[in-house]
Amino acid sequence: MDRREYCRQLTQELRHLTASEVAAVRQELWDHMEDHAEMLREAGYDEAEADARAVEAMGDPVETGREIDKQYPAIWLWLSRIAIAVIVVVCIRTAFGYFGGMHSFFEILSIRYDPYRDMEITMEEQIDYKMEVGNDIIHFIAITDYTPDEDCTAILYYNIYDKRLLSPIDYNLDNYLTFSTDDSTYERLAGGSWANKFVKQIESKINLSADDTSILIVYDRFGDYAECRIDLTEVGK
Amino acid sequence: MKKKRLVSRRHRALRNIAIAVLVILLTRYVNLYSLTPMQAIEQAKERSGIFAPTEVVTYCEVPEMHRFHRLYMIENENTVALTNTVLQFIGWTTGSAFAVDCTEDRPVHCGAMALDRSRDNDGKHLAFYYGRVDSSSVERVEIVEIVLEKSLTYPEERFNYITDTINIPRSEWIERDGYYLFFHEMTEEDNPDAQHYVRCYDDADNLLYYEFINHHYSLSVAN
Repeated sequence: MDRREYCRQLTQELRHLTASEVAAVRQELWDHMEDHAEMLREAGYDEAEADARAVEAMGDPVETGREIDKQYPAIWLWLSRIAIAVIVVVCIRTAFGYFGGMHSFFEILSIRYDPYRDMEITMEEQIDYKMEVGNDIIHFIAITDYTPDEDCTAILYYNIYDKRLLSPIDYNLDNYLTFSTDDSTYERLAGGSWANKFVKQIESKINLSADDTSILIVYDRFGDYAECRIDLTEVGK
Repeated sequence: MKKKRLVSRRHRALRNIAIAVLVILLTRYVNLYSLTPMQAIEQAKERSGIFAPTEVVTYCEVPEMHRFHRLYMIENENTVALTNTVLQFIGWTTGSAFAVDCTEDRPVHCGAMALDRSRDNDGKHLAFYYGRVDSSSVERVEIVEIVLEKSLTYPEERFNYITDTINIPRSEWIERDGYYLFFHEMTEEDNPDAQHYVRCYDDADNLLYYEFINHHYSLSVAN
């Protein structure tokens, strides 16, 4: 029996192995017999005899095959497959379910590092005031349509994000802000917003009179208090 | 040529399990799932604006909603809240914390949450009433359900139309430092027109205070 025939007979007994496992066992056996034959050749045996002795030393291929087959219990194969399934499911859910798509992930980054992306805001309209509420940051980034020394309805732009990159925000945080000018207080401002679990972009209309010099924003809920004053005399300069 | 070592099934399985655990831990980091209900509660708090530390007062299992559905009541000196947590395939998930702000000076602060398993809704839902008693003269808290068919001139007139009453006496309260907490679970009829009020009484059964329960949350689970 030559090496090839030995491997064929042995692998026929590997009934519980996957195709890749059978191939790996076959390669292992082949290499083992090759090593043994090489040693015999170095000891003075001719090539045919060295090969024959190496094969003979491996024992009965049927019995050896059955013994190897027993070394591959199904439980480990199934555990391995379940683990792979878990990895696939978790990765898919993370990628598509959590971020709501890659677009949202870029929004999470851009709100922090490039808050004026896709906005038509001039340098004069930009402001930079931050307010910390628990782990959430409210970043006031711009006031547009503001005319100093005249009554007007300005638009205040602000973003909400968490201090930690991938932590959710309080989605309704902006509903608990009060906005006060020198002579008015607003519980809620009209406007629009865009949000996902991690960030929120808001634009709110606020009526400002000619005498107003600042906007005071206050958060006071569940014992947490925070305030921020936007200096209107700096806007437009 | 370097020979490839034969990898056993056990070795490969353990390696894949280790990778799966690592992936789960990573997704836990991005808050997809939580390994424990406490982590899920922290997420719910974060989403609901409760930033200060809280303590779990009590919890109940709600198998009517999901086999592993738990409702936790949490509190700190400024708030009392209920959070839903559900054990799913690879961890605990949660929604928001249903919070009642206790910073205002009132004898009682009360919230309510209705859980409705929409598939086999038999005209009833699970209702949870929770809150805090801040006044030492209150001996009994009462939740009343009122169904009105017409508008009324005086708010007190509403109490002539009570359709259901739940008593939560002091013996059921949970004592804290300077205040008491209560948590009451019951099954009640679905009635979209029903209004709920909380009333509190002193030891002589005089009505001390009442208020409309503003924090009335409702949650449906379609399973």
